[in-house]
Amino acid sequence: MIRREFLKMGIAGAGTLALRPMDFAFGAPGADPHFFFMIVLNGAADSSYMFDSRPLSMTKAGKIQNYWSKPNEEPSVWQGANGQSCLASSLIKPLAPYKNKFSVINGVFMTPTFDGHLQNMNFLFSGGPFGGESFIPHLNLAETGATPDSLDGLNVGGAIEASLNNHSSVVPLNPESVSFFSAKLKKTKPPAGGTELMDFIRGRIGALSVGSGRFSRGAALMSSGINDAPGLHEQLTRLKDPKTVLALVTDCFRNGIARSAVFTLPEAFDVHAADAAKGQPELFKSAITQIAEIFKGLNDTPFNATKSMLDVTTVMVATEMGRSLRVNGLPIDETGTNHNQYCNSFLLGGKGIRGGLVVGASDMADEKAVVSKVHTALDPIGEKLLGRPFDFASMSVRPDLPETFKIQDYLTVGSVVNTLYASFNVPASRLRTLGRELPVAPVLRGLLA
Amino acid sequence: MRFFLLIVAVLASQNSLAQHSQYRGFAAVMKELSVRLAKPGQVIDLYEYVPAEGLETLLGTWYTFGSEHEFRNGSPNSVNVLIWYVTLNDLSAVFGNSCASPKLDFNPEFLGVLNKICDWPKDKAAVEDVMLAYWFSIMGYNAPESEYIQWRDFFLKSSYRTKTAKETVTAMTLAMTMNPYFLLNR
Repeated sequence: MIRREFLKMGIAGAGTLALRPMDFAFGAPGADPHFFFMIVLNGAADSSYMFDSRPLSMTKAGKIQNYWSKPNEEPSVWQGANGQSCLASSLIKPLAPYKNKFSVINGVFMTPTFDGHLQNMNFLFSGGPFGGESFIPHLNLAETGATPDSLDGLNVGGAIEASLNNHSSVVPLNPESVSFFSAKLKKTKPPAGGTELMDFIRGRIGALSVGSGRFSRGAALMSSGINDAPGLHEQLTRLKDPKTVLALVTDCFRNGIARSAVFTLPEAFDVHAADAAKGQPELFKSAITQIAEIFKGLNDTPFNATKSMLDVTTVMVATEMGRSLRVNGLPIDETGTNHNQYCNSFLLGGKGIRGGLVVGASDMADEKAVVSKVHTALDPIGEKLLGRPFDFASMSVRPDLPETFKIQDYLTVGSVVNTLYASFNVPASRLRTLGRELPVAPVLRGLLA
Repeated sequence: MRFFLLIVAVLASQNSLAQHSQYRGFAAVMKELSVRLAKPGQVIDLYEYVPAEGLETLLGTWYTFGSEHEFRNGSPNSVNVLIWYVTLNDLSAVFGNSCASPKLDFNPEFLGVLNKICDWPKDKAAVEDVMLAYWFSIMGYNAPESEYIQWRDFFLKSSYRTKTAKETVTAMTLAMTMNPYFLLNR
């Protein structure tokens, strides 16, 4: 069964969850449940097919490819509640019912130095182009003030293509295997201490975890795993045969199994060739339908008697970077697109986030737009959008055209992640900086609910 | 300059990945057990004991894309420790049950070793050459002698010393196969 079908079934499954008495056993008074659902568009998705479109005149002038619109179909204005707006393609219509549930963040700089997939996916997850610590486990740290869930996260889609050294507890799971696993666990005693044999096994794993070598660290992860396994065993046996990705995620959230879920969609957005680029409308149609189904599923699924899953879940839609407007030298109706690390878009919504806003913008709004000297320096042939300078205090785009590049002038992925950190009460010591010897990337305070 | 950046990139990338030993992987464990214990050409089919189809990929597996090969899901966590435990618990029970009659296509050498350890709790089974032979049959040379001594002393000094062969062989096998020296790369 393909992932799309799982999601569709998830909507149906979500309704049945409403009738289950166990729904009301969680989310104890005083607790502040908070989860994170990240949807990844893999391959660098072109935001002009979603919430950063351009007028047809720009395509007619040979500046930007456009395979999504019908003849004379202009993109529509997506008006933010904060007075700012962007142009949206007609492909985003399935998301319109959830307009107030998420905000659009445009003109986001990724790593200014590299334009590779891996480097920018690394930058998205870890803040470094070569990888390192992912932000996902940070949302599940005790230092946030919340009791850590058993797992830092579930990986319910394709593999996360990044070099991350703290994803040992971000676990790939799917509904079918979890159902069988849960049934099997009901017939198997948990690997808890208290028996001679299990005390010996756990003791050996623990003894071998002492030390700083690679083997000891691996044994330490096993030790931590076997210590947590009895609790996880009990939690997994509680799962009620989740039939869908969405049901699996919401059940795991509700049962304290995982704090986060990462869902990498199966669509591949890396469209360098013209033929691949022409397939983007179908790619986005499929991806946007799935994103809308996730919003609907979370919105329609109760977490407890008073809150929906969306009320307790922050949702991010992300891709590792943007795409160029065209490939230089090719006809505008026969071109693919290359990578663009200078301009990316995010959707951020759900718990802790103000919905309905448009934050940030890219430059080259139309074919007549004047670009900054910074733009000319970074992109001499004019085939990439750049984020526009951003005023963090007023949360608005600046009108100036900088002559020299300073990353502090721009909205970066560091600010997006730091905003997420702020919503999860991740300590300030973990906030991402803008680079070596540069300040912390400002939190987008106006986005916080 | 580009060369310098490449070196920096490679070093940084390796540094970010090589933080801890990972599992040797489901396929490697199955192959190793098969080579050590099964008749030539036969396998110890670990798939039969994995609690659900597909979960073996969470126990460390190779991913191939074009000419790229990457080992995935090799970092221990509570889920894969639980899957290993359920899998190896069931496999170990088969070894214990094989004291009555072999339940798998064991090779003659291992059957000889198993027959001797299955004399447990008689004194003739609780001796160095019999216990060491059983240890080497399954663990091979993956672990140092000190680990064998810990294992041996546990079964000689705990209540397992007087338990049945079925119970003890099951426990001996689980204690070996759940050991980090058996499951992790060094």
